Amino acid sequence: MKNAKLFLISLVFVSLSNSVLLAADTASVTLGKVVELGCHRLERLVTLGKIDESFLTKINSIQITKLQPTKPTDPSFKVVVTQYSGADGTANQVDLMMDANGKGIAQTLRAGADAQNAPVWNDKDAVSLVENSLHYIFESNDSEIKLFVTGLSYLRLKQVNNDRGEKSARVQMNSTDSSKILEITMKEDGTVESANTVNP
Amino acid sequence: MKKFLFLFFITTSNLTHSEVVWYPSPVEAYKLGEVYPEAQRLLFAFDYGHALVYEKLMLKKGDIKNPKDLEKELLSKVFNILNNPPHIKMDEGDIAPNYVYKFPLIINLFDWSHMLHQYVLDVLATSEDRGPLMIARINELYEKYKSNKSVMITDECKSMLFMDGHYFSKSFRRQFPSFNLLIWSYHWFQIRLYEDLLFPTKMERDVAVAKTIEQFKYLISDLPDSAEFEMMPETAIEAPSFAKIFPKIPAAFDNNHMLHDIVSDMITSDKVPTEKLRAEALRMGRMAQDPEAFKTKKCNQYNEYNK
Repeated sequence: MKNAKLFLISLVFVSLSNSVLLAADTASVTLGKVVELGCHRLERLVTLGKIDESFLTKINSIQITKLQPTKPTDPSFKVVVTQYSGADGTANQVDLMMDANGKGIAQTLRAGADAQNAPVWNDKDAVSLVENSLHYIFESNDSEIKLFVTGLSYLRLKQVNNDRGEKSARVQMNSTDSSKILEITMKEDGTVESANTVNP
Repeated sequence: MKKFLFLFFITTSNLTHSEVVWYPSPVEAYKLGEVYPEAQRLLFAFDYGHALVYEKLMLKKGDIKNPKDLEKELLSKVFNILNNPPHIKMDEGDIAPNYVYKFPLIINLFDWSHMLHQYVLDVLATSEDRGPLMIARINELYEKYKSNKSVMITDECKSMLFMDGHYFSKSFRRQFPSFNLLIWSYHWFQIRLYEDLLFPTKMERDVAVAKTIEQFKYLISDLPDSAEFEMMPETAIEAPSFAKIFPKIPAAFDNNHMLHDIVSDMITSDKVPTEKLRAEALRMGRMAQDPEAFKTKKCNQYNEYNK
């Protein structure tokens, strides 16, 4: 009986300790990191068949908005993933609602027309290219680039030709912490070729 | 002629795979099983499950017509093992000869790293001292791990691009999502045990381990939905106290776990033909050992990104 009591006390103690650990983990994450976690969420949703595969291959842009939660269950971020638009000008979209740690808690699909003229990528899919560009800014020591980790608000993926005429991926990023646009150009395999800030 | 054939056999079999040995074996080796038999048997089951799946996928390489059906079949085999886990460590060579042949370096890296995993758990589960002596003993084992450079997976932090940045990456997770989540649940279980076994009293450790076993069972109860991982679980996030006390060990474990995913991706990707597999596996194994490859200062901890 005594042992059972001790066991129950320990159970409560361990549960409380875990809650404390969880609470310690709830530090807010950067906007750039939330977008990366949004990409992971998107991949999981596609892999589990909850949204269409075109969300991996035909992404055009990702927008992130910081929300003002009023209760613990409210989302802290909204990440909107938009595909290339279709014939009527509308586009498939998914809104990902994320908690304070950047974990996906809900999603809403907004159906549009099937993407037209979305670039074809031979090596990596569109979402992996976006992830590569995000990893690049996370690893950068450049103070100007770091502003796009902390304040990332919007990114757009497009296909360009480099000066050798090869197909390249370019991710353009906007940040609330910078008046400039960051352009990251990658080979189709996701290797970064250049990163420059330009005036809008 | 017989002598020549014998010598040829000995030479080629050594080239194929030579086992790594931790000598002398630590006095605590496999004592985890005496204190927490269910946890230890699950760890044995994971090794068995990994080898079994790799072998099945190797045999089916290039001929997987219906990944969904194959995943169902593989899961049913592995759940049989998880429901009746082995009492001893199985030899991968017995379960997965094709896999062992194609991945000789990686098998040695896994073996050496798994020994460190196991012995750290053994010490945490059984040490009478819960402070400096226990920490010193684990650091001693860690030094031994680091001394064998030829089979050591680096303890430098690598970014997740080590796992996801190759031309064959994500193949396994996209074709076999439930199985991938099962493997991530294994990894979660392994690293969560480090945190549980750091509790100061035996009673607290018992409760924590029991809770982790229950959570693990829940995670795999209704795959893929029951395991909500969106990325591979990381040691410093799931076992923060352990990571604080032993700051270099988490990266060594995470690199090991990423290498498991890399193996799964190479085996299942059509972009890696069978004849290229052995060479690519060597290249990836060397990359896992190379402290500079995919090195990151962020240590894969997302809270670090805020600094």
